[in-house]
Amino acid sequence: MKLFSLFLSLALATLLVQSCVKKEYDMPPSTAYYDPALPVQTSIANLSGMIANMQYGQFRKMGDTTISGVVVANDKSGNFYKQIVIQDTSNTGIAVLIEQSYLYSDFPVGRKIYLKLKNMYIGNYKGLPEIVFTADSLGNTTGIPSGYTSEVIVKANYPVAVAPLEVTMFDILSNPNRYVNTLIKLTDVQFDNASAGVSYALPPSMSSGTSRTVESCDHGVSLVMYNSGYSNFQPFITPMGNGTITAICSRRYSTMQLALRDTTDVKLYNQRCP
Amino acid sequence: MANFYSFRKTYVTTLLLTAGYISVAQTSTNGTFKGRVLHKRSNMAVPGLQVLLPNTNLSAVTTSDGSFTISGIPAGKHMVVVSGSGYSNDTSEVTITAAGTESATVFVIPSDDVKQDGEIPTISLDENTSQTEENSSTSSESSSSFYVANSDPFLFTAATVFGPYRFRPRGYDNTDVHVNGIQLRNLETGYASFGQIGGLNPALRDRTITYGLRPADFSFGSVKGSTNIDATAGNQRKGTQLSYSAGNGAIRNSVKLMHSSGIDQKGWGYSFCMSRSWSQEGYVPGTYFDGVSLYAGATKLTKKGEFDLTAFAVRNERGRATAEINEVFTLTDNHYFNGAWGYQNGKVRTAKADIGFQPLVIANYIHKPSDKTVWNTAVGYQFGKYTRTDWEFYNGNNPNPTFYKKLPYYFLEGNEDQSVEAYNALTQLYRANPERLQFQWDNMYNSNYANIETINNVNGIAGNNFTGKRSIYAIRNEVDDMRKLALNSTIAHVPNEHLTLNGGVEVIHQQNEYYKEMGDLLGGDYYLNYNQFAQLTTLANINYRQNDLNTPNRLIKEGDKYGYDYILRTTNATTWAQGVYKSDRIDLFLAAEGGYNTFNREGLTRNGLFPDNSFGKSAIYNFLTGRVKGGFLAKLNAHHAVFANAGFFSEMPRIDNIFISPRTREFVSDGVTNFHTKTCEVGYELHLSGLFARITGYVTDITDNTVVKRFWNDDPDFQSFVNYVMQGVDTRSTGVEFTASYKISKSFTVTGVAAVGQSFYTNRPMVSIYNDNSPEMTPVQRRVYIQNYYLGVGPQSIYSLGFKYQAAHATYINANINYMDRNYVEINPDRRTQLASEMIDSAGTKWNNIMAQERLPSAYTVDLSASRTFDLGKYVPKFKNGCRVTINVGINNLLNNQDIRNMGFEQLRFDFRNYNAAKFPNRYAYAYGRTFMATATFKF
Repeated sequence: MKLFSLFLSLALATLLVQSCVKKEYDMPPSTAYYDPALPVQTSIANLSGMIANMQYGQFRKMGDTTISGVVVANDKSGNFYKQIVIQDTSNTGIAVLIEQSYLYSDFPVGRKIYLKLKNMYIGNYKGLPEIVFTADSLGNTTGIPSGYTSEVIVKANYPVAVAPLEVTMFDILSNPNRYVNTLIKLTDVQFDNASAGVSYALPPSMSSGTSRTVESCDHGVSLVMYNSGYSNFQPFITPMGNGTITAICSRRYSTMQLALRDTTDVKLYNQRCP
Repeated sequence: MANFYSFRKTYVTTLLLTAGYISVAQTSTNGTFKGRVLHKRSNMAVPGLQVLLPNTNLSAVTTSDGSFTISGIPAGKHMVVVSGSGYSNDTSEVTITAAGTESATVFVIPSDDVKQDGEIPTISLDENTSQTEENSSTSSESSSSFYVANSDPFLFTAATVFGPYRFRPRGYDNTDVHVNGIQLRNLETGYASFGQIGGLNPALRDRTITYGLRPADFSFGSVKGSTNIDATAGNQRKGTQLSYSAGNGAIRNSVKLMHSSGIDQKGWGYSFCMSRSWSQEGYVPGTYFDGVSLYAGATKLTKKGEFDLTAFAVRNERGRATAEINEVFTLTDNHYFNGAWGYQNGKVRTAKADIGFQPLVIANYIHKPSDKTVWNTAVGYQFGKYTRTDWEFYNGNNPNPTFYKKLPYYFLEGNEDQSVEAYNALTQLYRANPERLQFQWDNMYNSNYANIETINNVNGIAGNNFTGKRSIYAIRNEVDDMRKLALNSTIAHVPNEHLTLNGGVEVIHQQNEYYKEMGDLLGGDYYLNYNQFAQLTTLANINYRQNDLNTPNRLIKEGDKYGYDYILRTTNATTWAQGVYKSDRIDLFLAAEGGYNTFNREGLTRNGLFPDNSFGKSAIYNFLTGRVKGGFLAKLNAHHAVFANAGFFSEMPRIDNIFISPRTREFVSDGVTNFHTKTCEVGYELHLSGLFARITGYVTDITDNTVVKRFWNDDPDFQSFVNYVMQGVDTRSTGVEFTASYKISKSFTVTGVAAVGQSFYTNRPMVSIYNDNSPEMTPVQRRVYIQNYYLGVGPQSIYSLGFKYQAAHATYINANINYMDRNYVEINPDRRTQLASEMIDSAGTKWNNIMAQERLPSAYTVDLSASRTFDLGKYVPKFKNGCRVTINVGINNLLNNQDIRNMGFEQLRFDFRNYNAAKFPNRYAYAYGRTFMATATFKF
């Protein structure tokens, strides 16, 4: 009987030691190096060309078309909200509206994506070319539902470098449809006297966004930089110096604007032009 | 084999009931047998047991003081059988003389009947209904609010039949559970988790349960009653047992081994029990269970008492499930949908789990200076961690796969972005691909892989910069690291046959450290120790976001503490005394208790919002408590008895409810006072041959309570986590309980149980709302109009009809038909405020949608259980007598009703912009469908 007890104890002890429920998990592979190479039917330049002929608030439903692009801006700093900007090899960009916050975690800058446009809409939202999920005849739009993004957006490799287009403010103002939604770099610019040495934007309790002005060294040309009160750089102070600014070229009706991705894109380290 | 045989013999002689006989003069041919049935160890009366003389077919059921009378017995020697729920069929003999009256005290021991034992609930109710906004979760396991009762049909039914449906007797949530005299309840949260001693049922058979206000001999008890488990080695049945259970509930497999030596000639005895219970996946997808339990005890009898040493070491890990809104259940066509799990590399992983390992060691010295006095002193020490894992995110999209903005209904009910097209597209998508509503592990890893960031001035050291993958998503562990030292000394003295005096002193010191620990960085290199909700709005308050100013900008690796870290220290001392008077006509009792509690907080971090009030020791706070109760039982005659008990208690609120937000600051709410309980119960008992019935009515008013809810408040003035401190909360629980048991024939018994109650708020308390992520200390105050709303305490009406067929002592079949109703969802008090109803027509639908309290649909179920014991000695000669195998099968919810919502609550988030109640609909959980558990127990 004692032997029997011993045997049972041993059997049970074995059971106790041996783990029946696994707990360690393998790390999923990174998708950063994989490009599914989906067939692409059109370029963003083509879409942009179509939108250039549309009125404000006009949208059109798309057929079975896929585009691809690299994320050049997202909501990481909070200056963009519920949208990313993608740009393709045609060096043209477009804004993609998605009903989700913290898009940067899925779509970091440099992420290549494929976008299946079937049944979605492209159009002209107050001058800005956009891709939206739905749009009605009044121009009210809804971005891609967050639960739906993985259905229409296929992530490809990361990071893909996109060099900003080196342009002048004059180029932008004289050719608005060409540069809207693209990543551009301005050289030899500075904040104008009223906009230098103040916060990038007023706090959100005072205003949802604030316009600051960027000018050329000779004060001859200027552009509006529109900063959101909800951005994390809202209380930061704009630099006094002169230098380069990299930003997304944006548009509100006929006004061309600069939209910062982050203040690390503002490199005004040189002496201010008097 | 000779050894084995002799040990069986000892077993029979020591543990079978002992009966003493007194002879009385004879005048007629029939005699009477009367006496009391007492618990062998505690000497407590055991009511509701049947005392049977099988060869005469005469029987009686014991009354609440354990007494019974059987008359009209033919003279001669009769076998005596005592049977009833939870107690074994111990037999002895009595010799009846003509016209004589035999008196006997019959001692019984708890049954080892597996079904009657019941599975021990491994968690307390608190954990089931925790609602922290999106992260609300339900337990993977059905539970019961108090220990499975075994002596009373009402308690037994309430616990085993309705426990899984979250029935809470009388709506109370207070628990008083002692193991070998040591309080299991956590002083700071007020809850006792049975998980600490789970998986050890064979060693926990001896449970003494008092319900309501009746006196117990080991503590003053609580408004709900009290439970004491005697798990000393000397109290364990001698022998060895091995069992295996298979089922399809939360636990699918369980192996248990127990061996007890009995007491040897030198007075020594030992006992051990170990078990392993597991399920790769429980009844609800994504839930799992992994438990290892060890128990060991030793007893040394001395001339005038005994020493006991008992140890429990139980490690349990179980995967949790989420409570969801109706749309999710509909989309997935699955009432057991659980958003806590998802595929990682194609394998199921659950984000939410509970892991407990809090070993408990108890030493007892029981001194019996005379037959009339028992003095039991227990010292217990418990230590270890209870960890809850959950998802965590910083500047990330809420990883909850059923977050409202990801669901189709949001595009109909959300304020902005309304789009029927989006609603339809999402509905189609989720219907076709329900796996998209599961946790998306691979996405989170990839987001972390790509999020390379440079952190400057790491640990506050200028120029100490680090670049790496900063985790946006992670798995956190919320750890409660406990140390508890308890002393409990009780004395019972019986000066004469009528009077019992009890009393005791209990001192408990408890120290818990609460902190967050990084569980899994999900592929990232670090997590930053920032409070994401305390974002800077001006450069002046750049420190607000620092969780610990003592080490700013700290990078968190796996296993590091982060977020909050503080200690609560509590000392609680109580003393109580009780007198119980018993006579043939009336029983009386009176009990009183006084207590003193002192506690403080010590912060181990310096929170950026409260740099001067978070680090170091807080002031010391004291509370005095007092309780009295008393009652009587009047025995009108042998068949009828009435009883009434009443109590007045003044007790302190939970300590974690006294602090406004113990995670970030040392402040306590202003003017926290004791809460007061006024309670009474009255009843009537009927004892006829073969029939037992009892009806009890009760009223309990709890007033001046302090309750804190912590949640994300969507009020535009907050848009933040808040501490919602409700003070002066008054509630009432009132109702009727009915129990009847009728023995139709020798082997057929029918039992009926019903409880109909109302637990509701009785006033309109004031609420102080503190923003959790702002240093602002002046709360927003408002009144909540919650008078006459029901408490969310499970079904408030239950009915059960049970049929038991007992073919022989070795076989029974049991069937129950059950009905439950009036289960109300837990309300969000903030919806019953002026702010939530401004400008809304009180006659309209919108008003009704905000104000009405949902009642969950009623449901009925059928349960079956059967058991048969085989005496192996009959079949295998070498096993000898007493070697038995018991096969036990229980089926719950036989009709497989999967539509029973057993829990629901209103989300604490409310749409203060459009007053649309449908924006944050109620969340629910469903009771299990048909489950079975089959157990084979081998005893030798």
